[in-house]
Amino acid sequence: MWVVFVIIVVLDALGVFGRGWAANAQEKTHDGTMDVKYERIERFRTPSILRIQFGPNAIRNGKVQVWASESLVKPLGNRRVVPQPASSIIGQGGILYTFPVSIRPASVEFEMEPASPGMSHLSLRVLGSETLNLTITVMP
Amino acid sequence: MHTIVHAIAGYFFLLLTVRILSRRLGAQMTPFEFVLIFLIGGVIILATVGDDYSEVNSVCAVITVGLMHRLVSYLKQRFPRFGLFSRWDAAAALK
Repeated sequence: MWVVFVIIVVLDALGVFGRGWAANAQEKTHDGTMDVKYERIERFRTPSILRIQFGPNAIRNGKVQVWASESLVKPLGNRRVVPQPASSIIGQGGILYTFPVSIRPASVEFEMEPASPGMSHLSLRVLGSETLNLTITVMP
Repeated sequence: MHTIVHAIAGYFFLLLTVRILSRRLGAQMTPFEFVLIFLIGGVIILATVGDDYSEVNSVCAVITVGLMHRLVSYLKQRFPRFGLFSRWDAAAALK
């Protein structure tokens, strides 16, 4: 039994149950518009950060428009967006955020606190670019 | 990882505190000493779990503390002088 406990602690230290090396993930779009760093394994009611780094192709007319599926709000519990978007419009099964951009590199952080355990699918897209589909598991 | 490190540090700190506080056996401790131990444990757990209120985190913290207790017990048997760290075996270790 103690061997099982040791295995659990080692796995936890590695981040297999979230908040560690194994939980961290990074996804990029092929056209280089987005580089997303996030935690593929999150924990229930525990803060986590999803960071989007925008490429030069993402910036148009001094602004970036990012669409996020509504799973960002409901199961994944988005609490805060840094910096504050100039506008956020609800529609097409998600939210369209608009950020004014003056200089590069530009990045945005979404602070999340999952409200329920389970598996969630999050889609992110810079308008006019390809969609990035992320799968995030929330541990109880 | 944060929880495991803090649980290990918390265990040793509690072990040291209990040793400094009293040299009496559990049944001979005064009610206030018991309250003090629970109070210290309560304060340590705040730093151990941090902002992570998940079940996984609690389970890992409990398992880590359990493993530490098992490890310390083993070390006390294997190396009697290690018992100096634990008040119950202090007298035995000095023999």
